[in-house]
This record gives sequence, C-alpha cells and structure tokens, in this order.
Amino acid sequence: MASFIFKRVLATVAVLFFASVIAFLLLRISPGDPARQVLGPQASAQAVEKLRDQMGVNDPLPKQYVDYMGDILQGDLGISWRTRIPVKDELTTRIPATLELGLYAIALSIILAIPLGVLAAGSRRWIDRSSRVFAVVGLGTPPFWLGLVLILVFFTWLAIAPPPFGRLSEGYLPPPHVTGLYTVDALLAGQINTFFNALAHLALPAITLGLPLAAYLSRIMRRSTADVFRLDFIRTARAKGASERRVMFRHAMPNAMLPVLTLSALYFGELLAGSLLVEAVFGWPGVGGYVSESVLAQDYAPVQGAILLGALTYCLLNLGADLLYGVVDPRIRTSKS
Amino acid sequence: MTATTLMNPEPSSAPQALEAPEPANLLTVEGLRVSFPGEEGMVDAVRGVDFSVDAGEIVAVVGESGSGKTVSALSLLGLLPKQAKVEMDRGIIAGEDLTKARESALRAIRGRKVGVIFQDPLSSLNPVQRVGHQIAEAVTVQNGLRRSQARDRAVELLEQVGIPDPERRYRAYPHEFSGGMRQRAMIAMALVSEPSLLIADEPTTALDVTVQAQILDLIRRLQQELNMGVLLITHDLGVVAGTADRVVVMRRGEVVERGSTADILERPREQYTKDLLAAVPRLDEESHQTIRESDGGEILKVSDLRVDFGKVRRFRPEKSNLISAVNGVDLELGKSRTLGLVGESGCGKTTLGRAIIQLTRPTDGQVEIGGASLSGLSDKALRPLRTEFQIVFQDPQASLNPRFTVERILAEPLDMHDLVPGGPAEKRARIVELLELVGLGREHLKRRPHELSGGQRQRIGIARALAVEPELIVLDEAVSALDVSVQAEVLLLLQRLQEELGVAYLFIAHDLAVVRQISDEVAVMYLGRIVETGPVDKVYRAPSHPYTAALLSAVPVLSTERRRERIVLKGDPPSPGNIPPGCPFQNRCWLREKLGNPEICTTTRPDLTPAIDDMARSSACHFSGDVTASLPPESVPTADSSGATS
Repeated sequence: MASFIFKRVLATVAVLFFASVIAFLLLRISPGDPARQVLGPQASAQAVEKLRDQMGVNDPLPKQYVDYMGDILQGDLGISWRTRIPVKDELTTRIPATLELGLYAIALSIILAIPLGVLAAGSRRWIDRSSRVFAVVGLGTPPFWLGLVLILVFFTWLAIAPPPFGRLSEGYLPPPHVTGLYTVDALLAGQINTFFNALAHLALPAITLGLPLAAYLSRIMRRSTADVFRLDFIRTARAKGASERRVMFRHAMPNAMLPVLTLSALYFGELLAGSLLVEAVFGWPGVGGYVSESVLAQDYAPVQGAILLGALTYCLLNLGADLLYGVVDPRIRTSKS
Repeated sequence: MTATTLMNPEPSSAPQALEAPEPANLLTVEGLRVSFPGEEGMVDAVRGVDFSVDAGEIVAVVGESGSGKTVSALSLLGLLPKQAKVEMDRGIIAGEDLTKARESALRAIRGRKVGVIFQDPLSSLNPVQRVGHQIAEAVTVQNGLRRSQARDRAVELLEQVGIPDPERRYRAYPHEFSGGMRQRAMIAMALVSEPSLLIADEPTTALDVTVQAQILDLIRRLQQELNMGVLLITHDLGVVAGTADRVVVMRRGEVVERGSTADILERPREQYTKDLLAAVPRLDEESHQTIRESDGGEILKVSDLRVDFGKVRRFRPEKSNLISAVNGVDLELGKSRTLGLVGESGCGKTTLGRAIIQLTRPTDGQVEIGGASLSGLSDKALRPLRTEFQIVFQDPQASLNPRFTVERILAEPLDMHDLVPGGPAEKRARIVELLELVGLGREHLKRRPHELSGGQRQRIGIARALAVEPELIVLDEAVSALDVSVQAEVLLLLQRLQEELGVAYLFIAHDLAVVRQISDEVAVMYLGRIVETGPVDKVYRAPSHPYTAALLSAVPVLSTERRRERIVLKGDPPSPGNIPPGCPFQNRCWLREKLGNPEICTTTRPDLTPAIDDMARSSACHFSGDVTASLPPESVPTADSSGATS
C-alpha cells in the first residue's frame, strides 16, 4: 500500500512538472503584451519597455522558467499584475469556494443518480422512461442557461433563493478559516445561521452544476445495475430466500456502484472546469472567474498558479478515487497488498 | 434432527418415517413447460416434463447442453429470468402447491425447504461480501436470528462442510477461497435451515477431479445425515453412476428415459441413452490410438523449460511474488504421435503449451520444433516458423472473431503466410478443402461463428490450425467445452486427421478418460513439474506416481457399485508460490502416509527418473515402485488386477 501511494506521489510530481511547463509556455506563446495591458493604450513605448524589464518578460525563456520555478519551490506563486494581490492569497480563498461548489454538486449528482439508476433498472417501465427523459434533458441543457432559469424561478419569481451573488448574504461574516469551505467552517464554529445561509447560496449553483452529471451517472448506474442483476450471485441471494429489496440493496447496489464511483471521480475534474460559466452566472467568487479574467489581461502569475493547482487537485482526486475503490472492492485490496 | 422437524411445518413427514417404510414425497412435478421469448415468438425450452424426488434419495437429471435440465430445476423455485414463462399441470414441493404459488410463496420455499447450489461457485458468491456474512445473511433471512447468533451458526455450518479453521475463514472473501472451498461455502449456505430438498445444479462441473470427489462425498454424507432428497443436475454420467439412486435422461426439453441408475447405465432402452453412454470416454478402455511405429525422429523436444511470473524483490524479499508456473520441464514428442498432458487447474499445463509455441515466452530452457530451436528468436524471426506449429483453444466461441465469416477466418492464415499461389478461386478451393477435411462444407463459408454449433465452431478452430499444414498442433482443452456426443465426434476427427496428415498433437486436458483414448504417451503435471510420463496404457494400468494414482481413482466411472474404495486426496493443490521443500506432493500424498512418513519425502526433491524395468516410463517419486502395490484394491478403475509392475 505504501509503495502504491509512493508511486502515485512520484507520478503526481511528474504531472505537475509538465503542467508547469505547459502553463508557462502557453501564456508566452499567445500574442499580446502584458506590460501594455497593465499600462493601458496611452502609455509611452518607453514606459512599456521599462515595465517589461521589471516584469522580467524580456529575459530569455529558459531564464524566465527557472526564475518562475525557483519562486514556486519557495511557495511563492507571484503577484497578479492586474490586482496587485499575491496569487497565493487570492487562491486560498477562491479554491475552497470552487471546491465547495464542486463537492456539493458531485454529492448531489451521486445521491440523485444511484437511486434513480437502480429504480430505472427495476421492473417498472414508467420509471425507466421518466429517468431517460431526465437524462436527455439534463445532458442536453447548457448549464449556464439552466442556472439562469433557476435564478428566474427561485429568486425573481418565488423569492426563496438568496440573490445570486457571493457565498454569503450581506450582513454575514465568513466563518473562521479552517478548511475554507464555509458550510464546514460554520458548523465547526457553531454558527448555525451562517451554515444555512451558505447552504442556501450553494443550492442553485450546485444544482446547476450537478444536474447534468446526475443525468449521465443515472444512466451508467441503470446499465451497471442491469448488468449486475444478470450475475449468478443475484440468483444465489434469491435462492437463499432473500426479499427483492434485500437482493437489490445488499447485493446488487454495492457491486453496481463501482463504475459510478470511478466515473464520478474522473468527472470531478471536468466539473471544476465546467464551473467557470456557472460561477459567472451566480457571481461565485471561485477560481473560474479569476482565471478567465487573468487570461484576458495576460496576467501570467494567476493563470500559472491556477493551472498548477488544478493539476494537483486532479491528481489527488484520482488517488482518492483509487483508494476509495479499494475500500469498496475487496478484490483490489488484496491484489495491491 | 430436532431442528429439521421443527422447521418442517407439515406434520406428515417425520411421524410417517417412523411407522411406514414409505418415504415422504418431497417434490412432484407433472407437465412442466418453460418457454422463453425468442426472435420469432416463444421458444420452448422444456415441454411437458415429469419427475419426483422422495426423502432420502438422490435423483439425477442428466442431459447435454440445451436439454432443459437446469431450466427445469430452476423454474420450480422461480429462479429463472423474468421473461421465462413457466407452466405445470401439477407441482408440489414439500407440501406446497407450486401451481398456485406466487412469487412471495416461492420465496418462502427458497432456502427454507429447498436449498440450491450452483455450477460456478465463484460467480455465485457476491464478490464484495465476506463469505461468512453471506452465509450469516441466509441464517438471518431464514431464522430471524440476531447477528451474533447468525454468525455462530454460520461458523458451525462452515465447520460442518469441512472448511478448516472456520472462525478465520468466516472473514475471507470469495476470491480468497479455492474452488472447492467456495463450493463448500455454497453448500453451507444451502443447508442453513436444514432443507428437506437440495437442488444441485452441476455442482462439480467447474471443479478439478480430485476436488469433485471430495464435494460428491460431502453431498452424499450430508444427504444421509439430514435425510435430504437431492435433485442432482449434471451432464456427467460418471457423476451419476457413483451418486444417484434414480436417473431422468432429458433431451431437447423432454424426458427420454427414466429409471434406476443401474437400469439406465446397464440396460438402457432408448437409443439416445445408448448413444450417450457410448460417447462417454471410458477410463478403463485401451487407447484408441492404432499402434504404429513412429516414423522416427522427434517433432518436439523441450528441455528444462521454465516460465516464471511475477518478480523477485532483492531488497525486500518478503514482497517477492515469483511463481514458477512451469518449473523445469523435459518433453519429447515423436512425429505424428500424440502426447497427453494432464493435471489439475493451476498445474501449469496451459502455460506449458503456450510456452512451447512461444505465445508466452519461456524464462529459461530450450524448445525445438522440427529440429529448429525457437529459443531466443525474435517475434519476426518466429513468424515464418509458425507454419510448423499451431494451437486450438478451449473455448471455440471466444477464440474466433465474431465479426469474421468462416471464409475470412480460414483465409487469414493462408494470406499471412502466402500459402496459396494464384487468385481468389484457388484460395476459395483451398478453404473448401479445409472445411471438408474437418467434416464441414461449402455451405458454411459465409456463416459467422454465432451461426454455428459448439462442435462446428471447434471444427473451424481445427481447420484454422490446419490451414498452414503444421507438423504439431497444441490442443489446449480443445474438447472440454463440448457435450460428450460432440466431443466423441471431434476426437474421432482428430484421430482421422492425424492418420491422414501425420500431424503430431500435444493434447492438454484435465479429463483423464479423454486423454487415454487419444494419446500414445501421457505426461502428468503437478505444480509446474512433470511427475510421471510414459505410454498411456501402461501408466493407466499401473501408475508409478501416487498423484497419478489419486487422479485415476478420483475419476467417476460408469459403474454402479457405489462404494468403490477411493483415494480421496486431502485439500486443494498448494499454490505454486508456496512449494514445500522436498517432494512438492508430500502434504497431499497418501502413499507417504501409508509408508509411515519416510524422511526423504520432506528433505529431497525427487527427480523425474526412468523406471529400472521400463526405460519408456519415468516417475518423480522416491517410492515409484511401491505405488501400484500399495493401491487399495479396486481403487483405480483402470488398474490391472492380474499383476502390475513390481
């Protein structure tokens, strides 16, 4: 087990290295001049050139890369030229925001998809039909549009959702920082009101982000439940005299969930990438908005930092999924030990 | 016993058993019909079948695949897929009327009054649940016991079915069990509420022959202890002979013949039953190979061949997982002769076959085919040589590309080796010639594998191997997946082809009777080594290795004397990763026990050495001369009573 994790850590380091190179090169290949972006169209060529020297973008590429990596290894992700705020500070509040949104979205989609898929695999046809309609609609709907509709219905018309801006309503202070996830931190600090307010702010964006994935996963779950139902040990369970419900929940579901768990871990990365538009719609102060603004402003440091952290998150999630898989499936556990 | 009577609600069975000799009827079915929806309406799988089982008797339902035997048995308990349509005129299980029973009533019967065990114990157990929990679940479902009580009962059951160290095994997962232990666990699960009827669907088909003997013994023992009725579904007439009281022969969804086991096996009335019996390869029948002089020279010479899997960790030896699947094998096979290679699953016989034709690259050792050494050749250098040797696999369905037509399957080797000069007409002619060689014809050219029967598919597999006119064909369990009647035809075909074409066979199989029928020589493999080799009739008549003797003794034969004394080996074959020093067979060896555990068995590894009186035979046993003399009388069905080698 230890050697398995060790290998995965080595692989993670390799992935991070390549990610850093790509992030570094992509920005420098793209046309435009960051100094001009900072100083505006009115600035003199002399001033731009001076700033370029200060920024270090006149240095040869290898030197720039070495400087950049040297900073990163000391834990310095650089300063945003646009906002003058260190990238690290910005990311420490924005990453938890995106992560919290993503976690709720994926939890929601798994919670929806598993029972829906199991029921759809059952004998009642109408459930299967409705779940298929749900899947087609869910997969065919652009998330940002769904987000806008949800805002229209639940905020504008019904007025039960908080305004689509930020993670907390006005008058609420962020809970003391522990994990950066407001719902968790609020509970840790015993601030029940803050918890519910944060939850209310999460609800619509999480639904927007999680619904298409739920639609997809429910079809996977249906398929894999139907496959498991054809297997011999289901017949064994029936031969014991077990009730259909017991056969379903004790024997079929744990086996059928395996592919859904793998896929949802793989799709978590996609989900974070897809959160960009949803964050824009809901004014969510996450990584997505930060990166898109920084790319447009040719603001190197935030983009590089975000790409690196994204790669790191992705690696950790996959490792987590593999470990989780071992918990659920004993056959994998022994083959690794 | 009190538990049985308590759980049997109908009062008739127990008191009656005391007074009247008439045994209680457990199962009666009349006019059973089962159909499945097919492409063109319903397809009848079972059409009007009657059978019955009384308390304390074993009734076997035998038939080839597609006879409807399994479907009949499972339909009674509602264990078929939902699409199946089941009807019957009369059906009674343990006093419950099946014709009126709904799903909930059937569920109440399942597990409580009728226990079921299935063919493949690995797939029949839930892979992500501990074995003990699965048994305890059955206890909970049936008896409503509390968790700790259910656990105790499960451990008790594991003990009852002969699983050593049940407390520890309770926590194991199915993949950590051997095949035999899994089937024991299935039996434990079926016995939870001491049912009056046990349905055993091909319970030993997936098991090795020595393990099969153990499981059949266990079923018989439990049947007598619990006075159960057993409905035994099987295709194997040998299993029937030693186990059942009565037999029902089925074919294409109908009962062909029924009667006592002795009547069916010795005085069959119907032609189908006679044919079926005739097709069963007999262990006690001399080899069918015509005695002919080998025209000299070897086609295959293997020396000191080794195939290792896994690796050695030099710095952390406890993490090493090196396994020698083939561990120093020497073999020779003469031109146009057949060498049978037998052994239980995991002994390395398939790996050896694959290593010989370089599908798996050997770790060490020499392979010569037709005088050319294959060792160390690159894949590219091997390719032209591959016309010399070919392989036919066990599963003809999986080893043929389902999207190819027969013509394309057979054209491929011809094209690859550029064997047919001329145009498409010549190639077509050659393909038809190949088809006719294996008993098929022009009409099969455009078919795809799924449009052929199992026997026809295997004929295509053989034709494909023959296309390149090889000198040697490795037949890896090539007839194991076939029904006995089809198997007999394919064996005849193989023998005819050998006579006509002079091809040599390495015939790998677990079925000793089949091996005897087709082979000139036989090699017995155990844990990656050859333990005995020699001319097949001599080896079968007077085995000179205790393992060979045990294998022969474990094979069920078509004889109705039920209590033939057998050598039943203890335990399962040890894993090749964990071979004891000294003789690899020592901990299962019956001879060593009989000789008073001589020390040499645990200290010195016996080499394969030629017998003093017969240079054609070799055995890897320190006491090879004592094997035949030490056999319990009649324990090996093939043994020569008139006198064996001394």
